[in-house]
Amino acid sequence: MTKRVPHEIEADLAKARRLAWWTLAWMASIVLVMWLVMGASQAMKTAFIEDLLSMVPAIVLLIAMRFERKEPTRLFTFGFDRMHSLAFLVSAVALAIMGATLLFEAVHTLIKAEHVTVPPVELFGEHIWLGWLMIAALLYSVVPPFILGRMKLPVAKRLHDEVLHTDAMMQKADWMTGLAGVAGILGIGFGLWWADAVAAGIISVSILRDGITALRIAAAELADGTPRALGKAEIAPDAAALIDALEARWPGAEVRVRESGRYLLAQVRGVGGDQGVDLKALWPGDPERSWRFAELAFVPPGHDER
Amino acid sequence: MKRPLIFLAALLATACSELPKDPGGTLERVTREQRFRVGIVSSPAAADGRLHALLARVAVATGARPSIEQDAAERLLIRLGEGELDLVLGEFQRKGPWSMHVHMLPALARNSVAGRETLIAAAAPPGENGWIMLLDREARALGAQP
Repeated sequence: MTKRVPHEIEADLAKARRLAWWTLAWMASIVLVMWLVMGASQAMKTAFIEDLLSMVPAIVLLIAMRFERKEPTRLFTFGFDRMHSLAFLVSAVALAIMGATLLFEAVHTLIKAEHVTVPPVELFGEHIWLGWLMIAALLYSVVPPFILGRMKLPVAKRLHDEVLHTDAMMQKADWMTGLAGVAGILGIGFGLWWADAVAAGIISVSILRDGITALRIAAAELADGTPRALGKAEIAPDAAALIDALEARWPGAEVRVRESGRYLLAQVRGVGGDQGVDLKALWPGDPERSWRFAELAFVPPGHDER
Repeated sequence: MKRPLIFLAALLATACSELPKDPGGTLERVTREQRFRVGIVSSPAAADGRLHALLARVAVATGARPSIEQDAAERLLIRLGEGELDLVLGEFQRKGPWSMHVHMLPALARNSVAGRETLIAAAAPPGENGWIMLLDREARALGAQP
């Protein structure tokens, strides 16, 4: 059985799903091209592994979206909205690992002063430097992530989809790493053995920072923390406004708001059940985004032992 | 507006046509000093005509004369990795502990000794990509296969 998602986001959900499939198709072609030209270059091998890793957010997004439509079962009575939070954690881990791997490789190369050999190859009877093929492959690897990443950001914002947002961050990491790789191979071509590692090292810091921020938000979400803004560790403005609105409606009550996937779940503690509450009327923000407020529960006095 | 772009593209094309260069400046030194330092592994393969043909081709391509010494493979390859030699020629095991520290050029011939494959080949210092490019071209001209 499938569960209906709010009609306001149906079109964007379909778009997110299409973008995820496009990402997998393009990234698979990039992985193949990188594998063909990587040779013995450690930097290219790292780029190849990163391209494989960058498919993780799109894969887990598709899995989470499939679960999101499932009805609750006897074993999962609260449904599967939270699969999205789990998918977000997996994506955040992938992004952080990518940044950490890149930083480790860069520092390792610099400390060991490794002089990377990029040999020539024979292609269609021509004797050419493998570096040129690597640059062509890296430039190809830059274009799809740049376009797809930019297409994903507004959809992620509208859906408040942390997985899609992390996927966009991963694509940003991809095209930045690709450009750093081009600079690195050109550097090697000009006899600057350290250029590759320095370029990769600078970019790895930004990727690692994005990964750690995503990990902090994912951990907060799974620990029932107050909902965070998309891609930031601060409280989401719409969640803060909702807390204010609920506190104003039930003065003296304790208000708790948490996030389950893309939805906000609120609890008003210390007051009895209030029949006939209209969630859309309580939503303090843009009415188009009222779908975010998915559940309101009341905990009467004396019904909480903690 | 078009002229500066054309000039820039021409400049870039000229600069790129000279790539790759060597971080240790091997090719530049060899052509400047007209001498390159060669180690030949002491073994029966030292007399292999293909190795000497490769030396002759490199000498013509660079306008430099080889300065040759003979020693055991391990000692020569260590010195190659440390930049004390520019080229080592001889018979090598296909996968040896040195493979991480030097660059093996395409093999001129392959032998099988007691079930183990050996290569008649040349080894170059790692990362000296311009020098490796020249050596690789000359080795392939003699029918070398990767």
